[in-house]
Amino acid sequence: MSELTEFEWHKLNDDMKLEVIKRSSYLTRCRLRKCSKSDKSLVDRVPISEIEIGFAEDEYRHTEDSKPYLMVHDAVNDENWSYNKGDDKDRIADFMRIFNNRNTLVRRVYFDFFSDDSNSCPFFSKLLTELDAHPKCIIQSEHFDWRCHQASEQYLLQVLEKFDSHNLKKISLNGIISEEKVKALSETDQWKNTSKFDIATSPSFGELDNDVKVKSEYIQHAENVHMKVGNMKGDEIWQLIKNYRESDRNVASFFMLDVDQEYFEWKDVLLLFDVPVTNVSVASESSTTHTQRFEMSTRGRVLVVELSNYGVKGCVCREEQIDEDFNRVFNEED
Amino acid sequence: MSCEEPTTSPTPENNITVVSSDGKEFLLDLKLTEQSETLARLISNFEYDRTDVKKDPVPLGNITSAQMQKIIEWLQHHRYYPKWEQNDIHYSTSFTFETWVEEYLNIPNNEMFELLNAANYLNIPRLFSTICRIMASRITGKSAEQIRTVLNIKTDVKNDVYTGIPIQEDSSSSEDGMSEISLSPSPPPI
Repeated sequence: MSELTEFEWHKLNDDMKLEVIKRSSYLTRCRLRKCSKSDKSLVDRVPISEIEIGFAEDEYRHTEDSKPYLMVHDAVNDENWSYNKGDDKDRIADFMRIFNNRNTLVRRVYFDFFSDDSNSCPFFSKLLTELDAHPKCIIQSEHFDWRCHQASEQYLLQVLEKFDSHNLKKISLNGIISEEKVKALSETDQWKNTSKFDIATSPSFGELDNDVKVKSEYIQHAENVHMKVGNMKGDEIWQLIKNYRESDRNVASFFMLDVDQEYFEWKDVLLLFDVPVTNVSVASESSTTHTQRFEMSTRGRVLVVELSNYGVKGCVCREEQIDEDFNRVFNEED
Repeated sequence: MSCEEPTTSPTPENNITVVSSDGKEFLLDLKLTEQSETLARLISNFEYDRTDVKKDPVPLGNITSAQMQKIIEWLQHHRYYPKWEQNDIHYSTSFTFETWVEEYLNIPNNEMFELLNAANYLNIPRLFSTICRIMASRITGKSAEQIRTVLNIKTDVKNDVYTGIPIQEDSSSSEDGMSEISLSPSPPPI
């Protein structure tokens, strides 16, 4: 195919240029906006959507002057870029510029600072200072993904509150987070409006006492919950089951609790059931698994719960298609 | 799907005549005009879909006969395609094209520019969107300087007085976007 040489871009009207820009990748837009002031202005009028963006530590260079990377993933073209030129302020400015267009809605914003280095705290401090200084800049993302060392926990609540609660669909938390912090998070609009949660502790963090403490009442409104926990009490699990059973939830709403098998006595949960304990086969007929079917108030739907050494998972299914619905949800989730 | 000769329809009552800017007449099957929102609206307004209504030739003052011939080729090829719907408001940037489209748009750039204007004028969204995607695909992977060259952009950015290079190209990112972006590992999995 011929190149576009001799193409007279300037002869296109702005509306037509905008249509080309809308169909260009994020990186191409970044480069086009440097071509001229008018192109910069046009590019900034087009909202950004199909990208994931986040800050991540420099995993190869844990020195005092190592800088957090600003990383961008173009989900459509499956291309990744990272950027660490300049200082934190430059990268924070780049990050904020993406959200200058109020119609921008990115897929995911993540903060990936697993190491206990000294760089993340100053970084978060600068990020919040900049965001506070520009209150019109609201982070528009479908997914808030926090995977940080405990040292950064002090900034978690403030950072989450910079996200537009109306567009947030999923919150992921990965790291050691105190019970008080989770409670504070659960009181935010961002948390209350979110329907999907993915919460985990990392085995590398060691002590089971440091598990993320998420009470079932915090996730009562959730449609999809995936939690990895060291241990969870039987009454907490029973409360979660009752929440799912008693509220009007969509088919395929689910919860999945991955529990450390050494500590998990799943048979204790059966003692709490307020219905006859009846094992119905869904995904497995193993003797180490119990599958219970719970009637729901919504006609035609049932809650199917499977307990095993590995944890508990439950899914709202159509009464006539239990196997199909249950397997589809958890095969995809696995 | 093969292209059909547009002027040999056996049922004239189901056609309209359009006249290009250089005076050439084209007999167009009404079925084909459904792909052009401009023509479809005109046919609806004048009730040209009724057999008892006299159909005057429709002048298309912005379209040359060469462009009209090219557009008819597009309409014929997509005659049996489902109605075009822009179903993705975020305009997914897929740069995969069917072979026929690649061959169809393997034309000089000035012709593609004219075709884009014609598609815009006649409001043929599938053609318009395809040309926009072709253009976007051809500037993908190029540096700002290369994009300037490819699109003939006369920069209005201030140049460095010593080097003549636009200052924005290498300046700090805060005003100009990410000035230095490198390939990186994948982001953390969801």
